[in-house]
Amino acid sequence: MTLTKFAAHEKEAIKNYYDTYGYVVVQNLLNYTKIQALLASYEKIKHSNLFIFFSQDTHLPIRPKLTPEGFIENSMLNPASLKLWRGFSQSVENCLVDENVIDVLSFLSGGSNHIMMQNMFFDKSTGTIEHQDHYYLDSNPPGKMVAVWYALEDIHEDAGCFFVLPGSHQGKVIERDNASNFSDHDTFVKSINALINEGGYKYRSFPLSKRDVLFWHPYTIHGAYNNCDPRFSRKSLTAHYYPAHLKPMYATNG
Amino acid sequence: MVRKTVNPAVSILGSEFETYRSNVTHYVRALANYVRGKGPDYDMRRTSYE
Repeated sequence: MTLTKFAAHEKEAIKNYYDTYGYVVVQNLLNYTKIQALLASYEKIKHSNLFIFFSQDTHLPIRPKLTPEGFIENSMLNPASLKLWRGFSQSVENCLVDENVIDVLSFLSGGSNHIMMQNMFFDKSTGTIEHQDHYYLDSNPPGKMVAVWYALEDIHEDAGCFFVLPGSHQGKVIERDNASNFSDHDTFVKSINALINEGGYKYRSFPLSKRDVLFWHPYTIHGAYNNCDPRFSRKSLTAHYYPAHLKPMYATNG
Repeated sequence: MVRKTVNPAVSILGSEFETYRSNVTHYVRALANYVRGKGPDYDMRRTSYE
């Protein structure tokens, strides 16, 4: 199935598509030179014996564990905050807050200034269950956060693509019972699966091209497939933003 | 608290001080886990999101 992508200047069409389907892809949005600088910096630090990062998928600070193909197994939480690795973290930040990306973000959220709640870097897909971001993090009042996924390379279909269930943002929203922890997470997973069955939503996979950027709503059900072929990495960044005049929903996240 | 980025329209949650402190904390925790021989808790992957 052909993916619908927009050019950055198609602002009204981008907003209409986002409002209708709960996500939108803007092609060739991220600056190529910034991506190359990030990848060059990443190649240096991933072989360092001193490099430590907080693994988003295992919830521990760890050293890089490389696959036989040379990819870091785990996803990094907040790579833009790795201040002890200034070159890498700055190159991540440069991509995340690229002016073209933030321009589209502003158009979608309606805010001129934003707070980035957290960010992630993936060398490989770690596989992520279907979920609504709202359960984990959102703006307060809710529903105003915008999440952004940045393709740092051409993503192969077997790399463990990011996926979205179009239109699911208009359905029921699952709340977290306990704001301080994820003690009801198993119930959340069951509720999301029930929601998918009830809504009859379809899965849309995103083998995006390098420089493409995907934006999605905090109520949109989405996730990522597991890697099917270890030869393929899935270098990408993710970040979640809320308009600066609002507050974050939960006091602590990630 | 937030810190500024190279784009004036975007700030990141967490002050400069909090960010550096977090970096150091991670180093200490990683070292402690290494000494104790504690590996990643892959069960935590269930609560991961993207």
